[in-house]
Amino acid sequence: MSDSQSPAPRKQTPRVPRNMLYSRIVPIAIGVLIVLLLAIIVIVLAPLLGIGGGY
Amino acid sequence: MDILHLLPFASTAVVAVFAVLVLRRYAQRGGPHLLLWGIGLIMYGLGTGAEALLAFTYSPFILHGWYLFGAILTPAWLGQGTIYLLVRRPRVANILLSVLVVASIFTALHVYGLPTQDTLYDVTQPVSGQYQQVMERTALTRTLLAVFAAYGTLALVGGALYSAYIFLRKRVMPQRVLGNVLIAAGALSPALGGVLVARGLGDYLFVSELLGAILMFIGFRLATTQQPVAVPAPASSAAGS
Repeated sequence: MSDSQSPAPRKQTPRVPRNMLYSRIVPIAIGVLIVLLLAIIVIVLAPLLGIGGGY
Repeated sequence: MDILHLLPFASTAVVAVFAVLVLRRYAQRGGPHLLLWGIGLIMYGLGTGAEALLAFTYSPFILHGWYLFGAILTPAWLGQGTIYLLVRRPRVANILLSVLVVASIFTALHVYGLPTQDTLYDVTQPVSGQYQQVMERTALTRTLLAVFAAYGTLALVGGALYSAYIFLRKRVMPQRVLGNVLIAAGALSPALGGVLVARGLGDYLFVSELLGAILMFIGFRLATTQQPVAVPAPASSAAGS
């Protein structure tokens, strides 16, 4: 069987390595950023609720 | 001239390169999200560019432009790009874009109609520390600012964090995981700077804008660069090992 008849190799998807960066640091960073995001949204919307000032 | 006055020049340069790369990618691949990110980055650059100009010269036109693009429109237009990327129903994204366009035009007319006390402006001081005295804002101005900022920050940062979480959960595309975390952190940086400005800490705005531009730039490059995949060893050699 010639090479031309063999199926094309599937494109491989890079996998997340199992190391400290992806198992600890990144999840913590995502959590911290979510908390910061929510805090900023509350502060930004506060003037609409009559609390505090705006930018 | 101190270092604080130079930061907006650096921010503008970073954002200009970033915008060119994003719009070049749009020209090559298409995709409304890239076009909207490109427009959002141009607005980011107009805001930081206005800051740079205001360190040399003053005009109410530049001040209004700084406030319109730097404070109000940029996050919303960047966030709209993320909406197009993540929302699967194009109709929903199109409706939101239509609302954004109309609201942006209305806001531009409103901001450029705000009266200014030009004699109060001091070019030796950062604009972020004195605009509140120079430009007379109304309750409507603050409402528009809050709505645009909340929408844009939630869409851009929330979208990037959601993408990072999805890729991490599937344990694929590690560069996109990191890239999206950096984009989220970069987008939060000027948002946090804006919050500090409102509390009278205007000096941090220029730093936060530069940091935000750099982080988002690195994040975008990471997320869009193809990562080489380790090719598994052929079965014969694996069996022989």
